[in-house]
Amino acid sequence: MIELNGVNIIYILEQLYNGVFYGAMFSLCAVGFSFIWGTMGILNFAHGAFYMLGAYFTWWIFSLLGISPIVSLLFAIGIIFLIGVGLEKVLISPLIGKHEWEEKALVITLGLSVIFENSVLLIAGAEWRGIPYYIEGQINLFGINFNFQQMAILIASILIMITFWALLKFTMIGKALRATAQNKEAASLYGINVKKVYLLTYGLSCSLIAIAGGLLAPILYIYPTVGGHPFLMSFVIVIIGGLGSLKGSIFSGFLVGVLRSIGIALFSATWADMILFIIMIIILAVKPTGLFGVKR
Amino acid sequence: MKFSWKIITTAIVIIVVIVAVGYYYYTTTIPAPPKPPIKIGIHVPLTGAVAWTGDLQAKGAILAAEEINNAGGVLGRNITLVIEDDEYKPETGVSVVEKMITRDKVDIVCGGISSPVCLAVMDVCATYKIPYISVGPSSDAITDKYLSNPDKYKGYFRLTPLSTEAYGRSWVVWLKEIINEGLWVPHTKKYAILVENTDFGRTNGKAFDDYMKKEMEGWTQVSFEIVSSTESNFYEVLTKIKAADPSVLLTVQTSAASCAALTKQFLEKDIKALFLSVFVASQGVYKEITGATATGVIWNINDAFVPKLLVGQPAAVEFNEKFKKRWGVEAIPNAISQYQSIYLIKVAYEKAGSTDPEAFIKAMETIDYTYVDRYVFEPGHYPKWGIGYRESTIAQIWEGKDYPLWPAEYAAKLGYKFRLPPWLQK
Amino acid sequence: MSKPLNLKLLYTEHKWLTLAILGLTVLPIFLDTYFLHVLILAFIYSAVATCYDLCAGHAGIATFGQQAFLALGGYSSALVSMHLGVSPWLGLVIGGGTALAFGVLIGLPCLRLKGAYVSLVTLAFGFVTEYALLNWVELTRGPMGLWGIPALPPIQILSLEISFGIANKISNYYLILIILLILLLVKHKLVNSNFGLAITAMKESQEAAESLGVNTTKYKLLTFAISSFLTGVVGGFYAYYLQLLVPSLSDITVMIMILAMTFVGGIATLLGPVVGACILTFLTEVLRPIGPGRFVIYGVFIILSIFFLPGGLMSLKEKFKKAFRRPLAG
Repeated sequence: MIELNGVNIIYILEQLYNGVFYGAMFSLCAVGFSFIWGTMGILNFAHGAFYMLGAYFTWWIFSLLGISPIVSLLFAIGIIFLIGVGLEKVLISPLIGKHEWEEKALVITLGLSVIFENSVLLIAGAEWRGIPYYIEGQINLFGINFNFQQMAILIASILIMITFWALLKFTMIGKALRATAQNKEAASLYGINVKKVYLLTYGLSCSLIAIAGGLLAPILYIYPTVGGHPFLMSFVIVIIGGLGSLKGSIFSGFLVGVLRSIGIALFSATWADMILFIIMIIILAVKPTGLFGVKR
Repeated sequence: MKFSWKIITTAIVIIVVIVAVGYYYYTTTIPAPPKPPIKIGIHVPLTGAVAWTGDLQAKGAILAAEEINNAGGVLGRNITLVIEDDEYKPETGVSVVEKMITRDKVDIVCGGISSPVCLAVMDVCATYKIPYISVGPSSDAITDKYLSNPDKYKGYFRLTPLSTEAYGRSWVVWLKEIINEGLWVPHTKKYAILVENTDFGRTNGKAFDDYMKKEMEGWTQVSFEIVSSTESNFYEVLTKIKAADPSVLLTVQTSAASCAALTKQFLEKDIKALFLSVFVASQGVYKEITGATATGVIWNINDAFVPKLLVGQPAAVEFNEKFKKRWGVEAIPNAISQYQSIYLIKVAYEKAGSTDPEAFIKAMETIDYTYVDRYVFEPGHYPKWGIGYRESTIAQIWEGKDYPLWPAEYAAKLGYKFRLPPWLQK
Repeated sequence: MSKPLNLKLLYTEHKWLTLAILGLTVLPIFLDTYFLHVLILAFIYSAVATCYDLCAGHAGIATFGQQAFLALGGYSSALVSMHLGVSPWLGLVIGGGTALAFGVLIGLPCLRLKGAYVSLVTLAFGFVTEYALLNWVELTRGPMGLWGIPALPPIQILSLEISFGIANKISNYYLILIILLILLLVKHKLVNSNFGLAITAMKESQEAAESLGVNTTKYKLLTFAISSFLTGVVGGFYAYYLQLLVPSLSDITVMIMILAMTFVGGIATLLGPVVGACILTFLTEVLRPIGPGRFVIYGVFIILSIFFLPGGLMSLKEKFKKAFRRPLAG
């Protein structure tokens, strides 16, 4: 045991690792949520439902075809992308530009989430489902058990976030997305088809949360209301990080994770949540746009 | 906006029409039978996180009603069930029970899983002077409420024993037994508690804590963590618990998914403690989703259906066969409790000789009914707890099967003994 | 009212209104208590949706914290009556006052902001409220819920004693009807006053309103405060009516429901939120025999009504008018 002034260093490191893992899980959930707002200016209330669908489709394909959960996750992402794009095309696209369309789109997504959760309840029943770890086994370093699934989730979500960032930064599509987010009118003047950008945004955001759903399924399990907690965490992270900011969501996700683990280590789980909420209130009082949010 | 009184009135007229149509719809769809049946209202959650349990519970009631009707009914009258979804929400519980009482004119209300719903329904039933038997809710606050005004709530009975006894005392008695028999040598005299932030979690965590403090000399509590009921990430809390090095970890949860996640993460963190789970690990679905990883986990439930089934108690076996035949699935403890509640009502009505609520309450207070469990009610309108009455079961999961360890009678009959969980074996 | 009430004049000027209120007054005679209970719940939601609409629809404050004010009003009314023996009638006002105080506290920092940020701050406030109600067990009994809340004490009118409590549906029905009518009257007066003009201008364009000399923050805060106060009073009624409170009253799902009701009925209309609340509440009750599938229908209904009636159900009136006018014009 390595100790410093009576404090167990390994213990602190382990807790920090836990916090980072927590942050990675829920940053991944929050990114898509923040992204839709950044580009389209709507709050997607079906976010939790798409998480749930991602998990269910992964499980369905996995258990029906008996193929590796990773492959079924890839299929699930594709399906969710199509569902997302289809719904945007049919339900949200016709509203764009009309009076108070952002609010109406919000209510539509809210209706979607009710429909999805209860349809899944009718089709798959209320039973809890599980998926095995994608990678079994663990490794012991410095007396800490690192399990491969946890590390895989950590690495995968960081990779996904980097890929997503690179997509926005370096590709033509990404440029169109960013231009639209910054100024819709100017973007359309430069020949960007805003409706197509919105379509893509919605599809991408749904796939992002579906990845989270499939990836976290071995840990969070699968049941019709499973999307509630990731959705709530997305909200908390986005409130702290600032709406529409990719950087903000990632940073605040890790911040929340680490603060939470420190709070649990020093006090208790109840207090850790309390600290989180207090920090959220302080940030909102000092900088209501969140840490990285921009005024629109 | 230009305001017109016509808008307000048109809208009100629309509301009135909707109300009238709805009223007509309800009053015309209920046919008046020639010989009035006895109506039993059942509220269970059929949507939401506990829909699975609620559904099987309702099926237990339907099975009982069908049997009773085929055998000639109660006091020469048939039983009609009015089953409603309480959505696990108190206000919906009030709505549906209100509907049962005033519209369907039920003679008695029964059912439930959630304690807050039960607390709300108690008031509705008390106001209409309709007897109410709760089947699943196990919070002791319900009995506190009964005792706060026994006259007002006299029609209320619960089928679950007091949690402090069923979930608190039972653990401690059993722990003492295995220590005395030398089956388990705790490496520290420390215990940790990890519960979900519901009344169920808080009450049972506290009950365990109280009995440990009272009965286990020299033991100290090192951690009492309360986490959200939807939480599935326990790494931080478990790391902390591991650092405190307890010999016992008590967990209280209602979601099988959360408990399965907790079990996995507990094993990954390699904590050298007994893993005790109140209620949820006893559910078949928990074993299904954890598979072999749950080997060594110990659960406790305020019901002895599982060991009775295993020792081949005729009633339990018979019930399970009937249930499987009717519904195609295995019975669960909630189903047998709900099933027995219908029979309790039948026996009490027959004893009372009528469906008069006052006579029914008198009959219930002195009832002694036995099927799978034996029901005798204490003055506080909760069932007598202990061997031969409403029992608790402590069992260990081993390779996907349940091995009841306590009460000792069952364990002895089955030849089961506590086995050191794999993670405690060298 | 400044001029004496002239019943005859009232009838001739507002014939439909008088008839409708008369209709609602005699309605309980024809209904059983279950229907009354559902109607009371529908009116409670109507009242909260009306408060929400005052903020979101008329003043353009995209609040997401109405549920927190409902819960705060409910818990504070219940607690002062249970522990301090305050008469529940006064408790209703205290409930409103508590909600008002928190409303101002939250409104001050966030109302300078626009759109979605107001949503997030108020939503964060909703989370904190629910969290506090859940974990401050000594005060709120936490997840178990607060039970043992007294009913509103009986009132004596001449020799007639009117008592409240959960069994007395008719008196509760009239009480919430009166509260709702007062709310609608307040909303109507506010919207059609100079104040209303100011907040409507503010909603259309904050900059334009400011350049015209409208102190937008003051008006926003005032609207927010009024709305919080009234929601708190409704929360108090909820507490004394159901006599049980659980922390999930401050859950985001409550806000989502209120939002759906307002939009389905028609935002920024006087009666839209009421119509929406009544229809959605009754829809879930009427569909009850279907089982879990009813929520799918509920969701489809919400989407269809937004999609085909962007102005909400209240816009049907205009459509009807057009439909009737066309043949005459042609």
